[in-house]
Amino acid sequence: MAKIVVTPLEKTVMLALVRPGRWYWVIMGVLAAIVAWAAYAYTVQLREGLIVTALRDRISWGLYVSTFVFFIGISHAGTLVSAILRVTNAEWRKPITRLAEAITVFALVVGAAMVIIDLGRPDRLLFMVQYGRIESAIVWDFISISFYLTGSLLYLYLPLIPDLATLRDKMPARARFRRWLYTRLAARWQGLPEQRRRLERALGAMAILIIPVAVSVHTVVSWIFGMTLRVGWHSTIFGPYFVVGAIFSGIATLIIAMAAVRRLFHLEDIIKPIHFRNLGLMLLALDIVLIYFTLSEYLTASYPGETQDVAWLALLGSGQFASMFWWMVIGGLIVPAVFIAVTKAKSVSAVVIAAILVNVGMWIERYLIVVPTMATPQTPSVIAPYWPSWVEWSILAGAIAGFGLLLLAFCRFFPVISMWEVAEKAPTPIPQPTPLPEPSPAEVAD
Amino acid sequence: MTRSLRVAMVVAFALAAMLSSPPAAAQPVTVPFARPVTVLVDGVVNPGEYAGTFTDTVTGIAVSWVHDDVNLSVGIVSPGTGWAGIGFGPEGILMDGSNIIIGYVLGPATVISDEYGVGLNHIADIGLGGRDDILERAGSEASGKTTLEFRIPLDTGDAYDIAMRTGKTFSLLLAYHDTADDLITLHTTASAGSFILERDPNKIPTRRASLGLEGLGEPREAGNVTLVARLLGDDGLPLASAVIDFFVNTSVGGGFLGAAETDAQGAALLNYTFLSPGPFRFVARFEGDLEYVPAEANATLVAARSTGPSVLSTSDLAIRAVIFATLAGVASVYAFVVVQILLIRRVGVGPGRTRGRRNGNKADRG
Repeated sequence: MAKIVVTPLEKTVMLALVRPGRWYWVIMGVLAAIVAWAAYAYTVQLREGLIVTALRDRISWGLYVSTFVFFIGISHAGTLVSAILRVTNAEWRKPITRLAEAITVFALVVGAAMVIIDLGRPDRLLFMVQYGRIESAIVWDFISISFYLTGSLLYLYLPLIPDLATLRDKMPARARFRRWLYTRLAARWQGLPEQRRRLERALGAMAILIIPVAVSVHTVVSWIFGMTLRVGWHSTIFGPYFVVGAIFSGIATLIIAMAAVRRLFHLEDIIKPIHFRNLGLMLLALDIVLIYFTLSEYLTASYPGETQDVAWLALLGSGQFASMFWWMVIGGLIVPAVFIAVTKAKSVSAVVIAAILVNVGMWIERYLIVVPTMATPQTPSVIAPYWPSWVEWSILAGAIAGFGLLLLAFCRFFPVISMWEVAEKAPTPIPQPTPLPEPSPAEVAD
Repeated sequence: MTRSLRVAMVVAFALAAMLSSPPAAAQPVTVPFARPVTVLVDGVVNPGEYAGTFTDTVTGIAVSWVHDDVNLSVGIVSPGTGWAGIGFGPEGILMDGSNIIIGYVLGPATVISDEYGVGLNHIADIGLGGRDDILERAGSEASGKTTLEFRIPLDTGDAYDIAMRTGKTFSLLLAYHDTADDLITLHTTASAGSFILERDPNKIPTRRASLGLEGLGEPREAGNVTLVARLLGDDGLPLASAVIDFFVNTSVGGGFLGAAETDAQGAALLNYTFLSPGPFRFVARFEGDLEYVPAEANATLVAARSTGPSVLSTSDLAIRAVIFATLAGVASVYAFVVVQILLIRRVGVGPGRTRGRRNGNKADRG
C-alpha cells in the first residue's frame, strides 16, 4: 500500500482543519453565544412585532437596512478581489483568494438575512415572488442578489475542487465523515488534462462574469435609494459611490479576516506581509476615490441650497448625526489613508488597524445614508427621532458574530488556502515532502 | 400713442432686454421692520436714517429701506446723475406685473413716477387708469450721485401696484443711467434680485384659518386632476393672495409639487398628472401670516389604472427587455459552468472504481 505523502503546504493547511487550536474554540464559543443572544432577541421581535424596535412609520429603514447595505458591500471583497486579480493574472493573490471568496458568500447570506429580519413578518418574503413588479428596484435587488449568491457559490466551489480531491485522498482513514464529504464534493477530480481544461474554462468564464454581476448588485442596492425622490438619496452618482464603497469595505474585511486566520491557524508562511501591503495599497487608492466621491456628493447637495438639502446636511454636519458623520469622515476615511500612506503599508499591524477603522467608518456611512434621510421630512413636519432598540443592537451584534462564525466554521471544514493554486505558483517543486502525522481520534472527530 | 408712452416703452424694452437673463440664485434681501419709522423723505439719505441698507454689487446702487407693516420707505443712491429706478414684482417675474418707481433730478426739479410693468414696457399707472400712489417723494444730486427717496403703501389697493405682504418673497429690479435725465435712454446698468419683508416680531398670529383640499377631475393613470385648496378665515370669508404649498406622498417618497396663490374666493389651484395608478396622498399647506397661524389639509386620491397604453409602457417594455436579456445572459454562463463541473465529474474516475481510494489525485502527488 502506497504511503500518503503530503507537501509542507498541504500539511500546514490540513493541520488547520484537524487541529484548529484552543483559541479557535474559544472564539467560536464567544461568537456562538452572541448569535444565540441575537436569536433570542429575534424571537422577541417575532413574538411582539417590530414595535420592539425603534422603527416606526417615519423611519421604517434603520439599523437592519444599514447593516444589509454594509454586508452586501463587504461581499464585494471576494469576488472582486479574487476575480479581478485572477483576470489580471496577479500571482500574489493565490493564498488569499479562497478567503475572499468565502467572505463573499457568507456576507451575502448575512446581508440577505438582515432584509428578512427587517420585514418583521418573514413569511411575507414570498410576496416578493407573488406580487413583485419587475419595474420595482427592490425586485431588481432581489434578483441581482440571488444571482450574485448563486455565482459566488459557483465561484467558491470551482477552485475548491482540486483541493477537495487532495483532502479526499490524503485525509486519514478514520476521518470518515470528512472523507465522505470530500468525496462527494470533489467531482471525481483526478487532475486529468481534460478536467484541468474544463476547470480553467469554467473559472475563466466565472471570473469574467462575476465582476459585472458584483458591480450590478451594489449598483442596484444603491438604486433602491437613488430611484426615490428623497433628499440625500436621489443622486446620479449613488451607483459608483456605492460600488467603490463596497470594494473599499470588502478589502478592509478581507484584511481583517486574513489577519485573524493567519494568526489563528499559524499561516504566517503562506499569508505574508506582502499580501497585507498590496491590499493596503489598494485600500489607500480606494480610500482616495471614496473621499472624492464623498466630497462630490455632499458639495453637490449643499451648493444649490435647496431647503430640504440644507435641512438634511444640517442634520449631518451639525445636528444629531454630526458626531457619527465626522467620525466617518475623519476616522473612517482620512485617518486610515494617512495611516497607510505614512507607513507605506509595510506594517501588517498598521494595515489591519486601518482596515478596522475603515469598516467601522463604512458601517457608520451606511447608517448615515439610511437614517438621516428618513429622518428629514418630505412634507412639512418635524425631524423624526430614531435610536435603535436593544433588539436591533443585539441583532446587529448577532449578524457580525454570525458572519465570523460561518467563516470560521468554513475554515474548519474546507482549506482556507487554495493549495493547488499556491503550489502552481511555486517555481520549483516544494522540497522535502513529509508525512502528515496521524491526528488523534478526537482531532478528526466530525 | 403719446410721446411719453413711447418713451416708456423704449426704456422698458431696454430694461427687459438687460434683465432677460435669469437672475442669480441669491438669498433675498430683507427689508427690516421698524415702528415708528423716522425716515424724513427729503432727498438725502443720512447714516442711520433707514433700518436697512445694502449696495447692489452689479449696479452699485445703494438701497436703504424700512417698513412699518403699512408703508415702505425707500432711498436709492445711484452712481450717476441720470435717471434711477427700482421695481417690486411677484417672485420670479422681472417686469411684467411689477410696480416700478423711476425718476430723475434735473436742476431744481425732481421727477419720480409710479409705473407698472406691462410685458416689456412700463407705463405710468395714471396712464393705465390707475393712481400714482407715491405718498412722499424727494430727490437730489450731489458728488455725481443721484438720490431718490419715496414712501409708498405696502398695499395700495391699486390694480397697477402689487400688494406686498410680510414674510413673502418678491422680485427686485434696479437700474440707472449715468447722465440722462429722462425716461427714454437705455440704462447704463441694471440688475435683478429678490427681497422679503421682515415680519413684525411683536405681532404673534393667533387666528385660525381653515384649509380644505380636493381634487377636481377623474383620478386616472396618465390623467390630470386639479388640486384645489380653499383657505377661509375664522370669519368664514375667503383669504386672498395667500400662498399655498402643495406636496405629494408617493411610494417613492414625498415631494414638493409647487405653490399657488389664493384668488378672491380663497382658492389656490395646481394641476397634477398621475404617472401610475394607485393611492396618492396630497398635502396643502398655508404657512400663515401676521394674523393667521399655519394650516394644513390632506386629501388622498386613488388613480385608476389606465385602460389605454400607460405613459410608462414604452420604458416598461425597455426595462423588461434589458432585465430579461441580462438575466438570460448571466444564467447561460452559470449553466455553462455547471455543465463544465458535470463534465469534470464525467471525465474523472470515481474513487475505488479503477485506481483505488488513494490514487485519485495525480496532480497533487509530491
